Amino acid sequence: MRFLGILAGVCCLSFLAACGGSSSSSTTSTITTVGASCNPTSIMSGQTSTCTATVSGTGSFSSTVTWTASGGGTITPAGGIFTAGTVPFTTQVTITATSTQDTTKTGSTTVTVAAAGVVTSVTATCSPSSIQTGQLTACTATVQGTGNFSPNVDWSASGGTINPITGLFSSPNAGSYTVTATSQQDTSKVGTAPVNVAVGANNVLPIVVDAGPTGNYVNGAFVTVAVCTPGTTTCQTIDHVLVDTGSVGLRVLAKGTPGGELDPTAFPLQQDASGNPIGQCNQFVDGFTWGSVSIATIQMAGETASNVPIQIIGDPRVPSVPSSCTSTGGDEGNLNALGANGVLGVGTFQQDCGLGCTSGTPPNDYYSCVTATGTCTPTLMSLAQQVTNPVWVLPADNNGVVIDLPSVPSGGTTTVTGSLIFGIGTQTNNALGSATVFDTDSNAYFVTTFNGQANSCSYIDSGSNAYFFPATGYPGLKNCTGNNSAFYCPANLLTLSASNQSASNTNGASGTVAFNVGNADTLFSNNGGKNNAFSELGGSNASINGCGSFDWGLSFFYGKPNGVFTAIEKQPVTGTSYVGPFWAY
Amino acid sequence: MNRPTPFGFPDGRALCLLLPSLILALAFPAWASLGDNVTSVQADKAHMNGSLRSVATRNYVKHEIQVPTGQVVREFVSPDGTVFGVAWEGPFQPDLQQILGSYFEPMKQAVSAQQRHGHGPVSIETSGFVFQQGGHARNFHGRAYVPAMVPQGVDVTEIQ
Repeated sequence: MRFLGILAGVCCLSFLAACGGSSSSSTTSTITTVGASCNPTSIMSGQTSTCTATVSGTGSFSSTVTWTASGGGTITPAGGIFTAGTVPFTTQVTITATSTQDTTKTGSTTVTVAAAGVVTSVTATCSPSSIQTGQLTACTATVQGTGNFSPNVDWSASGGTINPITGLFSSPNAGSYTVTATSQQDTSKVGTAPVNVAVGANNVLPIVVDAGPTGNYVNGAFVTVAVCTPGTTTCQTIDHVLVDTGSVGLRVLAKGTPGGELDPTAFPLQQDASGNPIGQCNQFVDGFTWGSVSIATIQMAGETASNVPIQIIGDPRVPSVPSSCTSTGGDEGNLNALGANGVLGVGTFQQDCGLGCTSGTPPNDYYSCVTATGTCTPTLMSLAQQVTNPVWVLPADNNGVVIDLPSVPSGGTTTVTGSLIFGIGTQTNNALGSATVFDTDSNAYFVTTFNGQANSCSYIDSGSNAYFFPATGYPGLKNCTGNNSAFYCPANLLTLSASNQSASNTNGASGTVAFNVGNADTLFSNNGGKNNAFSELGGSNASINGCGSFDWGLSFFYGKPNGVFTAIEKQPVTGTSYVGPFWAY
Repeated sequence: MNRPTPFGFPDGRALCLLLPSLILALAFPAWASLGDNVTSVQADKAHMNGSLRSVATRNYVKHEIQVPTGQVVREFVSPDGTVFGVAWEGPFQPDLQQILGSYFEPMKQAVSAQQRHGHGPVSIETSGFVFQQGGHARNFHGRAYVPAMVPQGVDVTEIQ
C-alpha cells in the first residue's frame, strides 16, 4: 500500500500533465473510498511518521491524494511525511488524505504526539498559609519533570478567590481551603496546599450623624478613633471625628486649641534631615489647618494602622501659623470652625499631597520648623513622610472603604447611625454587589451632568454636608438669604435628576441619580430645629475655569442599597478586574 | 522705573485699545489685589516668582500668572486700571490674601458668618463682593469679583 501511495506521488510529480490528463480524460472513472494510515502512530515532538493512502475506485481513477494535518505538526501535502511539532501536552493529531480527483472522498487516521518532556510532580505552597478574611496569600508551584517539560500550572481553589495565573488567593469567608496547582502539560499532575482563613478583623466602625461637638453641625458623619503612641498600648480615644472621602489622612485638634482633646506629647514628631519638626498647612476648600506632622498608631474598630503620619492641629510643639499659610484662607484650627474633633480623610489617594510635594519648588504645604527662632519654611516631603491614608496602611481591608447610611425621611431627622466599613470585596460585608463602579481622573474627579451642563470636576465627598452644584438658570434653585446662603432655598421641594459618568479614558460607566432639594431654611427649622440629618440639603457651587463641580456630599449617601464605595489608588478589588481609584454605589 | 500703567509698561492702555488681541509675554510681575488700582503692582512684585502672560480684550486686560508650585492666577483689569476680578486654580490655594487684598478679611468673616454647619465649597454673594471656591484636596478653583467694578459689557462668567 505504501508503495502504491509513493508511486502515485512520484507519478504525479514526474508526469503531472499525464496524470491530470489521465483523470480528466476518463469520464467513466470514479473514486469510491480513500483510506489512510500512518506509521508509527505515536511519536514525540520533532519525530516523523510516514502516512500512506489507499484509494479505491472504478475505471482508470487517480490514486493521487493531498495530505493535511489538524495541527500539532506539519505534513508534506504530496508525500505524506508528518513531522510532530512542539506541543505542551499529549495531543491527538488527525491526518487526512483527500482524493485530488474527487475532493469529497477523504480518509483519516490519528497520530499521537507526546510532549518531549514529562512532568513527574507538582508541589504547591501558599505563604502565609494562615490568613484573615480580606488578606491575600501568595501561592507558588514547583513543577518537576524530565526532558523539555512545561513548568506552567493553572490555579484553582476549593473556595474563595484565586487568580488562575498568579496564584494570589483570598477569601471573604473563614474556613479551611485547598489550593490546587494543575500542570498545564499533564493535568493528571497536581499539587495542593492548605490555606486556613480566620475571621477577619472587625472592620465596621460605627458612624453617627448628629449635631456634633459644636451642637450645630448638619450632615456630619462622625466616628470615634483611638490614637495610640506607636509601639505601646497607650491610646487616646477621640470622638466625633468627621469621616471625609474628600481628603486624606487623620487630623486631630490638639489640647490647647479651643475644644481640642488630643495630648500631642504622646506622639513623636515627624522630622526633617536636620532633626527639625515638620509643620503642615493643610488646605481644605473652605480653610486651612496648621499643626505638626506626628507619628501615631490608629485603632478603628478591630483594625490597626501602625506608625502613620498624622496632623496634630495646633500642636504647640511647632511654631505658630506662618503668614504664607494664613494667607491661603480662613483658619479652621479650632473646634468652632472645624465642627469636629478631627477629620479622618479616607479618600482615593494614598497620601494627602502626593508628588506635588516631593520635587520642584516647595508649596505652602509642608514646612521645616526651627523652634528656636519660631520660623517655618516650606519644604519638600517624601511620599513616605506625608500624612497618609490610614486605610491604605492597614494589614488587611486596605483597598478602600464603604459608607453605609440608612434612608432619611423627607424633612430630615435628628440622628442617624450607620457604618464605616474597611475594605472592598475583602469580607462578606463589603462586597461591591450590584454597585456601579465609576473611575476617577488624576484629581479624583468624575463627570456629573446637570441641567445640560457637564461638570468635569465632580466628586463624591462625605465631608461635604450637602449636594453642592451649579444650577445657573435652573427654575427655583436660588440661594437662601442670610446666614444659610451657602444652601439652596427653593419655594417647594424640587425633584431633580443628574447623570454621573466615569472620567474620560476610563471604564465608561454611567448612571442617573434622582435626588431632591428642599428649602434649607425650612429644613433647619423642622422639628424645632433639632434635625441634623437631611437627604434634601443642597447648595450652590460655581462653575469655574471649565471645571464645574457637582459635589455629592452627605445628602447623597443616605439609603444607598450597596453603600457608597471609595477605592484607593492602585489597590485592586480581588475577584474583580477593578482597581482604584474609583467610586461605586 | 517708569510710572506703572495698567499693563505694567508705558502706553499699555493705548496698546490695549489699539491691539485688542495682542498677547504680551512679560518677564516681570504685574499683578495687584482685587479692587486696587493696577498702579500698585510694584508693591506686589516680591510675592510673585512666576511667569506672566497678558491678553487684552475689548473691555479688559487679563493677566495670567503661572506660579512655580502649579497654581494659575488670573487678574482682570478694567480700562480705568482697576482689578475688578480674580480667578485661580491649581493643586494648592494661592496667596488669597495678596489676591483679594482688602477683601480677604471680609471674605473670611463672611465664611464664618454663614451658618454653614459643616464643610463644602464656598459661595459668598453680596451686592458688594462675590467669592466662590470649589474642588478638593490636590485641586482647587475659585474666583472673586466686585460687581460694581465690572466694566459694562463684561459677563461675570468671563472671570475664570
